[in-house]
Amino acid sequence: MNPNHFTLENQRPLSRPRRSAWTVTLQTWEALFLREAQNRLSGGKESLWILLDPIWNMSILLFVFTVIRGRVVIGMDITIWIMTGILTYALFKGTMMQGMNAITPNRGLFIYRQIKPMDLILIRGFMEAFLTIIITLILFSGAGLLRLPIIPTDPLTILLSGFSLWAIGLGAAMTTTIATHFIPGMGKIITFLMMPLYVTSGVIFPVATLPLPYREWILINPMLHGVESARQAFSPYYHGVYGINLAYPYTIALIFIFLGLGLQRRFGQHLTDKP
Amino acid sequence: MIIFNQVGKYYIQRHPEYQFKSVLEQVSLTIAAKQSVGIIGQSHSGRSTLLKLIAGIEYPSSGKIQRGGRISWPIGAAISFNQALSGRQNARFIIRLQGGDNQLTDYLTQIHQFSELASDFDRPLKSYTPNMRAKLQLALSMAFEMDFYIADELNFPVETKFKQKLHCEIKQRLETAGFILISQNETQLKTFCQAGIWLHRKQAYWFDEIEEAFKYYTESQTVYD
Repeated sequence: MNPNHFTLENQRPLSRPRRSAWTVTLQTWEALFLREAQNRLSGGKESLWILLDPIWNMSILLFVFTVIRGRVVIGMDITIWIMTGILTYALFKGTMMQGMNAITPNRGLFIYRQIKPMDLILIRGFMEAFLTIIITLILFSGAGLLRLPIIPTDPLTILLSGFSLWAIGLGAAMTTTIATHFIPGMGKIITFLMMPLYVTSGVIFPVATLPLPYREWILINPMLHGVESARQAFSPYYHGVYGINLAYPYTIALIFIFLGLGLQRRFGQHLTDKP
Repeated sequence: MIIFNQVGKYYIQRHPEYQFKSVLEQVSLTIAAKQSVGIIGQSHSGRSTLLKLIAGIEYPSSGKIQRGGRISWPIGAAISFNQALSGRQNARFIIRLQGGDNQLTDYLTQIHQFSELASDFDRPLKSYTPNMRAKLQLALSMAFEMDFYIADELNFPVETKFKQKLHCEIKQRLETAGFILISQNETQLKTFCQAGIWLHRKQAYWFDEIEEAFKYYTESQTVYD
């Protein structure tokens, strides 16, 4: 059929059934997820960075730990120690930053009534989890080929630890989208806050080596609990920080998610307004 | 059926100073199914805001809006396309969003035909001229069966022939659907719309005949100018 040949007869719109609210939401999520996947994965060179970024981080830390300092973490292979730290923390950081920046570039999508700010944040969160799982599988397969001990003793607790950090990231994203919309300059402050959070989360140095008063202060950081739990579940002989409790990051996650959902319910409609 | 009950809308204005800027106040109206309505008023009288509230793009600050039926997005509105992907891939997202998954190819052929993009349909969006982009946006708008079509101006950078086709198509849709239009063009409003909404001083006034709405509008222009 010649596409330039136009007659009105063949242009009647296809009839489509009325959808229930739940179907609309599910189909919106499906469409957004596929769009997000296309955005993230079909970008050629940029997509490669999704994998190169954790590898780059890992290589630097590995270099510092093995070549410069020559120190060993007790009870665990140093490469695996670094990998678990970076990947679990990435679940928090990626979900939060992606979710926080989900609204502005996608503002044009709000012309569709079915897309709400919450959908964009949720989908970015799921996308981030999905990508991190794939990256984890790739990196651990690579480590396996290098004959590193990649079999964890307690896989379920690793999943639980990762999930706690992801949940904090999601709750924080819901909260910060509202905060950055109403408070000018808030985005900058949050980016600044991410740095100390990263340093004290136990990803880049073994917190157990810190002297006593500071070691207990650092336990305030919920990300540390998630990261150290994952390591402890990986290798039972690993000497982590005393006082790690997985219930703590989950409590923080619950607080953030409730706060975030409340804020979205109350102020979320302003996000669709023109800035 | 679209029912506005005591709807008000304000925006938060940041510049030059922080303040609430009220656009609509206490607007109550009912648009019945299959009704064609033109929205008229001075610029900055809140026409676009009213349309966005109808479309569900923005929320009312006070009051309640009830909608029965499927309401389109503004016809030909700029959609945040992915520049790296082709027109076809971008269209697929919109079809999925509208729940047309099971008839994906049918929709795609229809959009391809209406847009008259031929082989450009498979080229990335960043290579599109404004003209091609407008055609794709219009084809996407007209691909779906709706109970209400809405449009914020019908001036698109497309050829006269394409414009005629679009107008013809909208006219046909009006047999089964309602239409809500904002336009500067008086004749355009009169050809498409029967009823009229006149926006004046944050209030909306309903007229069953659009001529009457224009009468009030012109009168207000002469008095307050």
